Amino acid sequence: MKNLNILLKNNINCFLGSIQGKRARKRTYLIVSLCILFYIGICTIYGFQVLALFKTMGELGLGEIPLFNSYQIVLMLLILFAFQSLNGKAKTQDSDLLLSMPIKKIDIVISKTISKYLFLLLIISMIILPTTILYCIFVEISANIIFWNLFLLVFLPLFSIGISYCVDFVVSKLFNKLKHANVIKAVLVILLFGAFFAVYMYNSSIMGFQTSDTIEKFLSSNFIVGWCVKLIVDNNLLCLLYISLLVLFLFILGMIAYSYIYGKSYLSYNIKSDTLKFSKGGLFDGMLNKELKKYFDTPIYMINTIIGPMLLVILTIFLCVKNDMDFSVIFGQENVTQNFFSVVILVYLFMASMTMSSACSISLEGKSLWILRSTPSNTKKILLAKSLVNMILFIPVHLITAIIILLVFHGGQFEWIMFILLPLILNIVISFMGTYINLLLPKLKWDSEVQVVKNSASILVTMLFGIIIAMFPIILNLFGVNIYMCGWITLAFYLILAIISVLLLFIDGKNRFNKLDC
Amino acid sequence: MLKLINYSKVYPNGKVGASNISLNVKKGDIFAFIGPNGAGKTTTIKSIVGINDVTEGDIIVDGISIKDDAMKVKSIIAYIPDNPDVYDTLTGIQYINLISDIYKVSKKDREELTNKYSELLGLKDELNNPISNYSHGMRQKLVIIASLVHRPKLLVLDEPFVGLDPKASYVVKEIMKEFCKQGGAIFFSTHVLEVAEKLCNKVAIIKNGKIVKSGSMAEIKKDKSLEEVFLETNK
Repeated sequence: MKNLNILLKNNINCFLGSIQGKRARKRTYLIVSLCILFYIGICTIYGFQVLALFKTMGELGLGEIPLFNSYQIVLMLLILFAFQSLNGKAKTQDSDLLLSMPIKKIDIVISKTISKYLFLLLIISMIILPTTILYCIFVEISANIIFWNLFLLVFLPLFSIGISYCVDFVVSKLFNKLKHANVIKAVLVILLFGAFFAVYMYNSSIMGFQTSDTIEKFLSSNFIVGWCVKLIVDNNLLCLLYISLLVLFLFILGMIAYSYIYGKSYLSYNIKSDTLKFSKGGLFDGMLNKELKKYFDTPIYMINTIIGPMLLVILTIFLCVKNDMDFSVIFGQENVTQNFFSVVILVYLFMASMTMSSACSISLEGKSLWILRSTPSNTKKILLAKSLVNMILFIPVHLITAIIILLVFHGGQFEWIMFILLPLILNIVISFMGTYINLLLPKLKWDSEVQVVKNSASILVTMLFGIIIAMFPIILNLFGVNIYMCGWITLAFYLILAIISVLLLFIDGKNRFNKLDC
Repeated sequence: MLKLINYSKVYPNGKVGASNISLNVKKGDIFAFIGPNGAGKTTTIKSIVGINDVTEGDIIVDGISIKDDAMKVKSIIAYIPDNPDVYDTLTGIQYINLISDIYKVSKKDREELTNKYSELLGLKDELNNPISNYSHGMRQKLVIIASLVHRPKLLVLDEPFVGLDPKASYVVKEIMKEFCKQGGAIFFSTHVLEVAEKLCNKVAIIKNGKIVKSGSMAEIKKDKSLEEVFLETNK
């Protein structure tokens, strides 16, 4: 127990040290204040988002629907985080040091699990807390409702941890021996997440049609989320039993598996061969190949940045299969048939802004940056190769899916131009600007790619930048500009941004790259 | 081959990494650069290879100023850092191909030199495996092989023997001697003073960013060992 306290204290100190950086206290207060603001902001935004659903469904006596919606999001986040931490590496940076000291392995594993648990608790509380408050205001207030919501809040993170540890075990023992282990891992995660997202979209599309007669069947057909809702609303103890068994089984299994593999080295594939393949290419080919290999061999990098193109494929399939349905349920907008293309283009713009692999491409060089800096590599080609990876990820998927939608839904000339050009140019802007922002905010000292791919300032700034410029046509529309003018003005604006981003990257960015500290 | 003329490096936070350093490394020289931890060895080396900029003075490699044409200077230098951090996701041979592409090495040359040095260093069987499987020593060997593939004129090494097994250390020393016999020059930092004493014909001792002793090994040592000279300068 004493060791566990020491380890937990150490984890907290390491976390504080990582946010303090070089500017100690002042920076810590600023970052902690920003984190609190961010937390309150997300809670408020989510609260406003489900407010309408609570009002409408509360009046109809279907309070289960907004609850279902929230717990569906919670489950998706838990699964996403379970797989995002997947790396198949049982060794952490400090595992050798900790295991060499007189500390029980289980204490080390528990201390790491508690840190992970607290993070997940914080994340899902941003969904569950506003949901609970709104449910109490608009539907019903009771001690049971509050208790079961809080119970699920503290209990469900164990589900994510269990899955994450079990997956790490399987990956370490089996997958890592395969030659393309990382690609297989990432593809499996993407397929799984894609399937889950498809279920989410399907549920969202039929959720609004539920009545008091059909709600029971609807909840029963959705295992985990349905169990959570029934437990909260009906005090259904059978559902409590199901949830407890599932979560505890996965968690205990995960803990045993992780304790078994923790600290062990599992090497990847091994080839004993005298035949060496010498291939000659140009600097640009070599750089692009290196960048693509890095991308496809880093599951966390791939999973985080391929969500945009993946959602485009799912959306296209969904739209084409359900081309006779009333899309207002999904898009929440009246007269949606007339505005169908505007809404879909907006979705594409947001997906284009979410695909930003270049925003951490410089940081991912990490300690290897000396290679590019000490060799006669053309900086422009390096930066172009890094930006190009992002375009390779998005543009082909965008073009294929956009053309399919345009053909299926008979888009006019204006729709063809806007649908093809706007997301394409926006992605080009994000690709170049992402690399440039990463040069402004590089993070070259890191222990795990997760710190760069998920938690770095350049990712957050690029994301914010992307969202703002993706919202540009909406802002124009709010000022009363008609859809046609919105399209043309946005196109011109994006073209200007694309030129600016190219100039910034290849003039100022080039100089910044050559001054990076490595 | 390498000239440091009143070279100084001041970091943006005001810390002086190196101050008014002048050195001259000629063709055929093996030049040892020694000093205590934090003395400015790595700072100087990083400026020579173009990673750090030069605050004052100049660095000339084969008659070319690094300030005027850094790319040309880099194309005739090979750098081996103190920590061989290379791309984990590549295999050894993919890394060598990448470096060869950067230096525009012909397919014939890269094949010939990779085979030669990987056999000498005992890494040939591992070149098809991912670098993530390599030990520290194996990574160091890989960086050494990749650095020699483009036939550099100047080798700049930062603690090259750390992590190498005795046989590999011996082979690297032989490669260094052979390299200088063929007209190349070597500038390297080390804490292994016995190696510096046996291998090098010139030496410089750096302390707090300044050169405190510099010259031929015989001049610096006189009748003492290099270790004794080093300890005297660091009292």
